[in-house]
Amino acid sequence: MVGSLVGPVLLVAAAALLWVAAGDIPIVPVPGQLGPDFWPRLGVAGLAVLSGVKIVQVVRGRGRREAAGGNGGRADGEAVDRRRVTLAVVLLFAYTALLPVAGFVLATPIFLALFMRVGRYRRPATVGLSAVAATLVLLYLFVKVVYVPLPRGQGPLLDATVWIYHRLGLF
Amino acid sequence: MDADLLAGLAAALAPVSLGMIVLGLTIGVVAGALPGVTMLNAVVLVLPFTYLMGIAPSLLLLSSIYAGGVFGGSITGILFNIPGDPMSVPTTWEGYPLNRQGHVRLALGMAIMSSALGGFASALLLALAAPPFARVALSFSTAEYFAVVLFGMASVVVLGSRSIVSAAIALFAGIVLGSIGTDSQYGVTRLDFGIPILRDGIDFVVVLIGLFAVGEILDQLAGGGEAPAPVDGRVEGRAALPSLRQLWPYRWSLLRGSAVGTTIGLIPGAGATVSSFVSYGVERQFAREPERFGKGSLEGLTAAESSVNASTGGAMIPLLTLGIPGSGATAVMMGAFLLHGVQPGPLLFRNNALDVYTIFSGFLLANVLMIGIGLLAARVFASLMRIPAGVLGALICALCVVGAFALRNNMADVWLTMLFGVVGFVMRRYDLPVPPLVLGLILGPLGEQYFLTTMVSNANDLTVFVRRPVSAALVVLSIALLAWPALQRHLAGRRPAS
Repeated sequence: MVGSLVGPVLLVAAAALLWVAAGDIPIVPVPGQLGPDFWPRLGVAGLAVLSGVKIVQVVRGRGRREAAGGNGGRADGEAVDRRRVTLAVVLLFAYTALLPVAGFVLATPIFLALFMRVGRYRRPATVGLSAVAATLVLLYLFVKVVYVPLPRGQGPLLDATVWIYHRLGLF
Repeated sequence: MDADLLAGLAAALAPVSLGMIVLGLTIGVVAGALPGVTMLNAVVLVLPFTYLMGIAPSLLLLSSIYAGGVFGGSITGILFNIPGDPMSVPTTWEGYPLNRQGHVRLALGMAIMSSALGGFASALLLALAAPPFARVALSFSTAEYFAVVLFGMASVVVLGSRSIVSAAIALFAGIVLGSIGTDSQYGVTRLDFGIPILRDGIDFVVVLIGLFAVGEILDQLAGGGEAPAPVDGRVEGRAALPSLRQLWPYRWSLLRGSAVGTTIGLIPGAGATVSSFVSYGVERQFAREPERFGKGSLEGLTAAESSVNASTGGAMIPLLTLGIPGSGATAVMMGAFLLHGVQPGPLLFRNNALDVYTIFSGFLLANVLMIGIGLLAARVFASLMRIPAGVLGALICALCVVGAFALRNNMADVWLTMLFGVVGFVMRRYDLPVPPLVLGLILGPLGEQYFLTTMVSNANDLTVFVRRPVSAALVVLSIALLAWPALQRHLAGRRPAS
């Protein structure tokens, strides 16, 4: 039961924080108008009240039954491969952080190869080939067709990206 | 209107439009059929590619993915007993037993024809009913619009999940997220915590990509990361289209499925999955041989399959006529409209008539062309099933990153996408339904705008919502919808145990 309570309790705490933050919304009182803080406060209040209801349901045992009834969620059932998910999340955030530094064309094949490995695919030839091919397809589609200036990196990595762009005919 | 429809048909028959329809159907069928990739993933991932297109080709592409995607899951359901999407489960219940009995070609053919006919019927209704409905909607005031938003929220909460409280929590979380950033009415910044990227608000496309695509990939990795293997090694994927004589005995199943699908599609939050199960249940009540259900009933298959595709046309009516999306796919379509600077709603029929009728005609054509695409897809699908889940997941994540970046050429959107990817994963694991959050994010600002405007015009008198007949009816419907599950439980509790 304690595990099922973590989510709603965190939501109540978040709602309290948001309620306080809603107090900082600059308001110039206009007679007859509800003001810019009305709607966010309504949303936050709804969130807090419903999270409170969820806590009561869990304590009384109904939330658990509802979860078992199936909402698409698997809080109480299927085992979670925590290591794999953590690796995937770290990889996603690392890729996001690396993109402006290394540039799309250099960071993406590395990300793709590592993510495929996290996803239990380990044939080196297929991993390498599909990582490079997918990067080139995305690069061509977005830079050449849709004109999106994908991150090119900084310093020597920017020079490397520009060199690759020239070789690929993207410049 | 006839002239508009003819002009729209001519535009939809142009090579570019036809190309978009065929491309959309192909992407949709493939995405719908691949376990782990949903039609919604495909619609979201294709959105960035529509930036440089006109509004009509963009919407033709997205609506064709929608039409193809809701059908695609049935192919793998019938061939391998692996429904590509939850909405294909009833089709799988009947289609796979038919396959095992040696009727795979008939099952695939009936599924393709039922989908196409159901989709065509709803597209026809869309083309005929939407324009007069939009004319009526033009006379709506903000009170009616708020009541429509309220009804949309109520139905999303009640129909979108088995736990009303969980769905309502997700909806309110979406409403709060939707109020972050600079307020459009007063021009003040709200709940941004001094973080620059939050000052402009959170783009719902970023949330969609994160919650539905990245969240889904993480969820699959958490469960083992492998696509389910086919039950046996057979890859017989040739379909035989049924003749009119073969179809005739199932005409009522088709009609009932199409009617149920279109009606349920109209209700925000219900969508294709609900319509397929309801239609399957209804058909069982009417069936000549209900005992055959679950053992290969063509009545069950045709009803479920026609209702799934019929729900797509119904779902587009509130989007186009009122500017209110009722599902994830129509929310993305709304995003496409807004990206092109076009506000969906009743004025769309006046200001962008050609575009609207091109979309209608294209949607009709898509449901005809789906017969050919479905036949082809069924044949080649065995090879697509061989793409390893790990490779597919990595490619989708990279596409998500590029898609999020392309929104505003800003890394902040990529960070938010990743953040919402983790949120989507946590929500799936902790039993919080994802669609109500997205719809709260979209409907929240609309609701705020209509509510505050109504209050200003009516001196904060809340009774305005029950003094106007249309809004009163919608408010009563919303309350009834919210009260219904509790009433049902109460009645069930009073019934003597058998």
